[in-house]
Amino acid sequence: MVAKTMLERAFESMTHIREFEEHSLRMVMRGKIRGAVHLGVGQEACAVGARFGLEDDDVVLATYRGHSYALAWGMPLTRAAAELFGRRDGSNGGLGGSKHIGSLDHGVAPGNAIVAGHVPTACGMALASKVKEQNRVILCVLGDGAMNQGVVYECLNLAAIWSLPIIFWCENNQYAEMTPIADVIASESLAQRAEAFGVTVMMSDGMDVGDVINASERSRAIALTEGPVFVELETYRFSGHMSGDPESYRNESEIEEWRTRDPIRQARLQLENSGQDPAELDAIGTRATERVIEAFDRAEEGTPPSWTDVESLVRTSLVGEEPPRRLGIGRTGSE
Amino acid sequence: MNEVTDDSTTIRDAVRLALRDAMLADDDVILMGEDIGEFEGVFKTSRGLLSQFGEARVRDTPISEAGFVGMALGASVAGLRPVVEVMFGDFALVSADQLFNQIAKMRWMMGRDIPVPITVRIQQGIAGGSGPQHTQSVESLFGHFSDWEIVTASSAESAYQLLLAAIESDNPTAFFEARSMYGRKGNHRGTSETHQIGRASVIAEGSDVTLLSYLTMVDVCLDARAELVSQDIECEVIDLQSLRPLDWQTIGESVARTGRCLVVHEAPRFMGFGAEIAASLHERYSQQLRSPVMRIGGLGTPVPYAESLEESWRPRVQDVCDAVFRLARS
Repeated sequence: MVAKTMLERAFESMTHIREFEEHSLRMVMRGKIRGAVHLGVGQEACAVGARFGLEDDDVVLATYRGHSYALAWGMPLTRAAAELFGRRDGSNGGLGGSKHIGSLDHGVAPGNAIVAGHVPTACGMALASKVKEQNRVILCVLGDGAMNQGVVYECLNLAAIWSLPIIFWCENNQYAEMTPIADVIASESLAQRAEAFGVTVMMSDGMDVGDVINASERSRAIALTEGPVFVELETYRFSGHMSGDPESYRNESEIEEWRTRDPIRQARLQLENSGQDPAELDAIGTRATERVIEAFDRAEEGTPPSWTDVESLVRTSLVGEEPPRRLGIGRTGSE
Repeated sequence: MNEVTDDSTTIRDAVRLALRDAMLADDDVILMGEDIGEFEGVFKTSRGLLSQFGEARVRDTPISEAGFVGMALGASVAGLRPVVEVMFGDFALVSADQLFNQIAKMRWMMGRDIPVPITVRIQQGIAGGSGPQHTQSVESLFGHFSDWEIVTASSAESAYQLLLAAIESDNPTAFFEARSMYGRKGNHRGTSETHQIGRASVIAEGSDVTLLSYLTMVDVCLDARAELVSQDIECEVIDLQSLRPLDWQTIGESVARTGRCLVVHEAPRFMGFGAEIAASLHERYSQQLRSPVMRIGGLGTPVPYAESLEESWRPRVQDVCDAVFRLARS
């Protein structure tokens, strides 16, 4: 049983994340956020539970569906929203957008839009933690879809042979993009694949934040003392794979069935059952909505980046020229 | 010359000494690669390093290029300074996503100019019958991803200094070696100043034609130069060394003086560095050029095994001379 105050904080964090996700979808629909957003509505407990079981120095590498991890790790709402709007004061300077949201200042690596592309990076950070005795654990988030990328298996093996302090945090939301997991996985479970590589495995109910927190805490202890852990979290996304997904691959009754396990709803019920005043819980929701809307409004007013803002990053001849010249001969004659 | 290399030092030695000295100077330098530890490297470029530095810093990897190349990225943003060995250029492609979608884009995705001090050493090129999947020159591929520094060396002295520079660099650096040159002794001309990233070395001076080259073709150009002298054509031979960033000051000064330029590399001619350099020279030095810039390179097919075909797949001394004659006449 998780301590009440921790559960209330987890409920508050998940509520903020849910509001953020739903508001960013509204912004996309209104044409104010360009490109697509890959939302994790329904998967909030996986991010919040992870964070609550880890320590301040532990770093997370998430996927393109990573808003929840950035926010769970403490990224201010305005910075995250500003990144979605492509503003200079966004977490990634406006250069990444939704799929890459992150900031090492907050212990969040940029998200990755190549499925499983970040998993080797995560192992490398774990290697540094071990070699330099940083005493930190790396949380590597990946989905059931990523479990079919070959590099994941290279990394499970590398982590196992070198006893890396890494937690492979596998959110099984039942779909690899638009394809149901049963069509693309023949194994009985994802965890058994990791087990075959010599990695400690664990299962968790990804819709129950208390269970997730326990899994996170236990994995951390093992990862720091013994070696890598693979946690398979059973979860579900109520939102589509990305904004604009027609979701033809599933039906309403399936979604409704999973809604009964909505992590925010479950946390709320637990809180009420242990004596929490429903009005206070409502107030948390209202506050979250207000804060999110205010953050998005403020973020939208921010300045977009110019080429001068990113001057030090540009290693071709666009340096110092506005608008960028296409002739390729820079002011400094560098290329 | 420096204190470390002399006329008897091979390029293989120079690489090993650079790795050793980088590791002595900085505890954060670690090595990863296949067979580099216990076996001391398939080309013996890491002889003695495991016994000197231990297995935490000299790591034999499984055959998992994507895995360990990508790991080096994570290690480099978390405080280490990894040097990864990719055994053959062809194998670099196995880790293409990590090289080009991850390492090359990390700063950009982050939106921050943080140090990404990763060095990837790639051995490549023709060396007597290795066949289509063990001879690919891959440096040009890196050119499309602007965050990669691309560095080569054609002598022991420059290899020593440039590999050290690559490791010390806070940018992702691809350092190219050719196994056909590992046994090569002797030093080219060049100075500590010119053996830096972003600098080229003038190996031999001349007033008629500028020959720009790197890696295996530098010696071919020098041999061609010797033959051409007897024909009263004096070539200036420049080892480009640093393919990105290119040393436009040295290149430009030479071309402005000679007015004629030939770029020679082993990598395929089509879409090779010669094409980029030629186009840029035309843009910048059209007034000074007395004839269009020429470039010769590898045929561009996969490299065949049969010696009868392999030996003419890349530029030979005669090919360089023929090209120079055409330049001189036009």
